[in-house]
Amino acid sequence: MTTQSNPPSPEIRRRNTLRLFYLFVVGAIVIFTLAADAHPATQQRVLMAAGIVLAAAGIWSFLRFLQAADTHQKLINYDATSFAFAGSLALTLIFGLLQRLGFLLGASLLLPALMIALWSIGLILFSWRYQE
Amino acid sequence: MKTRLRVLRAEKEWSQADLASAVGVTRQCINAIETGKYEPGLDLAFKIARTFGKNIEEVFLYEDGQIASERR
Repeated sequence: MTTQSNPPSPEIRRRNTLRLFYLFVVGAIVIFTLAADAHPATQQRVLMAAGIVLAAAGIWSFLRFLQAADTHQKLINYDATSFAFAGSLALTLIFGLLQRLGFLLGASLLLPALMIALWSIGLILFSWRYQE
Repeated sequence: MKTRLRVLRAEKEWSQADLASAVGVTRQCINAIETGKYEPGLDLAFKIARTFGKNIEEVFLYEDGQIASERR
């Protein structure tokens, strides 16, 4: 049996969409950070619009990533999403409590980034379960 | 659930990557099935069985039963 070179294997397709997702997310975070410090209002609006476009592209690539997954990868992703959800819930409660006490006032902006970080950690952790 | 996947693959001299490519999943998925860490859904189980030209019972075995081909 010969391995087909075209189209790309599910593994490669999945990796590519995941890379694209991280690229868009990092881009959106950088643009939103720049927009927060931008001075002329028009420049800030342009940067915010660019950030929203990148964030939307991130969501699109995430959906592509889910579509490219086989049933085994969907199981890993389900575990990773549950892990990220539980972690985000705990961190949201901690951040909320700290904000009531006057700490971490800008931390709500960190939550989406933390969710993605936790989801990524979950993907790695739950993929290890199936390593040889 | 037990599987004869590794044996059938060896008979055909296919690598895990070959089989994965034939049924449209990752090599990691095939490895997880072979090592018993993951049980495939019906759709994938049928695809794998048909790739080998076998019935599903000849490839996968529910824990308290016997593989169909071994019973004959």
